[in-house]
Amino acid sequence: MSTDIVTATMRESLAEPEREATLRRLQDWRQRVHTLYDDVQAKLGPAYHYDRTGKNRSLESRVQRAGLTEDDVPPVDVLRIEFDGRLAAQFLPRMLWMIGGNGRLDLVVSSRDGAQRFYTLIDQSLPFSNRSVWRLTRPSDSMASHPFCSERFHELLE
Amino acid sequence: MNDPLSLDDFYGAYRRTSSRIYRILEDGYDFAVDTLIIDILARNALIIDAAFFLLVFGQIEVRLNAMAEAGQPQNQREALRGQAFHRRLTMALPGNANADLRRDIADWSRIRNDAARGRELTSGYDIEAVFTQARQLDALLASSLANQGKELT
Repeated sequence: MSTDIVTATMRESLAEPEREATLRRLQDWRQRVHTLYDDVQAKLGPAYHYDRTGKNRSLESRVQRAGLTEDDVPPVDVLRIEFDGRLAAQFLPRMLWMIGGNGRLDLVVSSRDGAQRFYTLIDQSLPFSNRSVWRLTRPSDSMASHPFCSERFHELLE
Repeated sequence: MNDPLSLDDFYGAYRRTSSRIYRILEDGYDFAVDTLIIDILARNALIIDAAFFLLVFGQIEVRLNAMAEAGQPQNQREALRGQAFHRRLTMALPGNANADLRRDIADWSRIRNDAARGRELTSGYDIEAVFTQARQLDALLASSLANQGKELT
């Protein structure tokens, strides 16, 4: 396995996807995303309401090329966070396979005045390294990114 | 404006171009129709990412070409430009010691070719990570050139 994420993801993208390996990657993706959600919920606490009934199933080209059907793909939760009866934030799984990252979530934060802020969360860890390295970017504002810190996530919602 | 373009020039242009797309997304975002607007704008952002990926690799290719041509007579330099990328890569980074680096750059080249031909092998790019890696690669190539005792022309 390459030591940098760009080279590792390029190499993976050039290799023909195999069914079992692709499934393992999808299961790992689901696990990493759900661990992040669990962490966010634990840090935000009971003042917020959480809804994870929405599901996302990857339809990326590698999934199709590996011969997986939609039913084969492990569903990944969409996390909706509500406060005082209004939707405050939503985490949406966007893609697993990308050059330079080990999966991306989109995060939309809605402020009280109705304005929306759009962020991306990209895991910079190498595939199957068992330790996610989430990086938060607000691409409309600056491409500068920061490590995602669940302890300080509430600051984005204020 | 005849100065050669650098990776920093591309990075600045990327930030300005990409941020406009995401500003449109934020301005028009509606949770009720989130999938539609995000999908359309994400597609636009992906095209911008792919375009800058091509430009970034172009910079690496310029560096490799200069390395391959360094020390060659003028008539052979011109002939080299018509050679396949793999051939120029081997000339720029010869020997077993450069085998891993050649392989990494050959991977970039294959991804670049697929993007240039409109094939969709990947769902997206983390362009910031791509720029970071490209800068490291560029520095490595400059160092390799210095170790060969050659100068760019």
